[in-house]
Amino acid sequence: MGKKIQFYINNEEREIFVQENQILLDVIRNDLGLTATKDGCGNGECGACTIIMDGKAVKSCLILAVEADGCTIQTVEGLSEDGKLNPLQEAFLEIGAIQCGFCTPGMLMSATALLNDKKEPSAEEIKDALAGNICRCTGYSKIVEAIQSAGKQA
Amino acid sequence: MINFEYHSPKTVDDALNQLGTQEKAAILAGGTDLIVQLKENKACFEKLVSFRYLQELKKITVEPNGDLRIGAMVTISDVINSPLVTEFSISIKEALSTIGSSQIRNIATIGGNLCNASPAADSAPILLVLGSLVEITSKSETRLIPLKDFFLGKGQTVLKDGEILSAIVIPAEARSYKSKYLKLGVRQSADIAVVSVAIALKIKDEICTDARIALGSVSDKPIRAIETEKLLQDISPLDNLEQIGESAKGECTPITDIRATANYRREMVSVLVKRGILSLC
Repeated sequence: MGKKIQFYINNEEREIFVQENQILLDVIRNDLGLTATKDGCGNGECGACTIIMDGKAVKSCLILAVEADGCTIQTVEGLSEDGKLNPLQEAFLEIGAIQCGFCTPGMLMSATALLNDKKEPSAEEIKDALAGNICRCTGYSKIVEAIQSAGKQA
Repeated sequence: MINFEYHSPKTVDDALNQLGTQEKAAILAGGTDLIVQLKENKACFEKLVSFRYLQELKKITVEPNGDLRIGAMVTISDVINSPLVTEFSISIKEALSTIGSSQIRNIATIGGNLCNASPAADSAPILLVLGSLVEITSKSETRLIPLKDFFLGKGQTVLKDGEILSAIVIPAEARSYKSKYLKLGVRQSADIAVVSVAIALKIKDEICTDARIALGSVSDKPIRAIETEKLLQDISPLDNLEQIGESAKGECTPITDIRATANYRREMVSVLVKRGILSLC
């Protein structure tokens, strides 16, 4: 069967034919080649698959690709412009909020969604917004610090 | 993963037509439970009817009589952020904020949380103690039933083929109750309740004139502790806390599972009920 869907991803309009049972995360990674969004647990717990869809942080492993028809999506590849990292990404690097890097795309997207809504979030607000993103390496404190730093800069 | 037809009707009427055909159909609301079940091969249907375009089900309104009406397809985040909900009862916002994580709340729906009918559903206890009703719509009729009669067991509701949950209605009189939701879990977020309790009390001159207590995760469905509620009638709620806690223990039938033992859950019911009452007095 299958269905043609159309959506905007990182400011680019894309049209693609998908099967009804394809998961958005897989379409983003395999069909569109945007592999920065990660497949961690596959069932909505780890947050490595976080993207921003129609302005909200969502877990792409829980969304059928067909449900993205007509939507506007931002993945982590869309944060940088012309190869230049944005202030949030720079903050992560400068403060050292990355170890293995696997959770980082998801963290960046959840943080971006938060900073889009709230200019200078407190540590508690950051932790609440990122409660759905698990990191096994860093212990989170530098991630929170990086987001606070980026928030102040904006 | 199974193959299925996918439909995304634009009106409730179209949706009901889609659900009324021969094929075994499932409804896609937020998908945070259904997609997990699909991936684990625990879901079986031939047709998936997505409710994503059903604007009629996405409204939050205060009716002329003061009732709060929340459409079944309103996301958990949108319920939390609604000024109408916050003004009606802050405890609804607090209870729903315990669901999952922000990404989950952004797509999960209040109707989906109820229809998935987990005994641990975080929206159920607070809605139960506020005396909520659910609106059930089919091609032939729309009816309202008390939420306490909606759940039949784990994963089971009274919804028959061709019926959908269209809205949750919280009666205006719920405004006169002080209420609270308490959730006990291993983590602060992204956790399924080990035990959950909601309390709503109507207090006048330090005497409780009406009490509602709901218990989650300690039965095959969210339940009201009817006998315990009676103990709070016409007394100062702080008298007799121990007896009230013991009574609540007696009204639950918890199981032992990977998260906790039945005994621990029973003890915690008593603790949370007492804490809940204390917090409201």
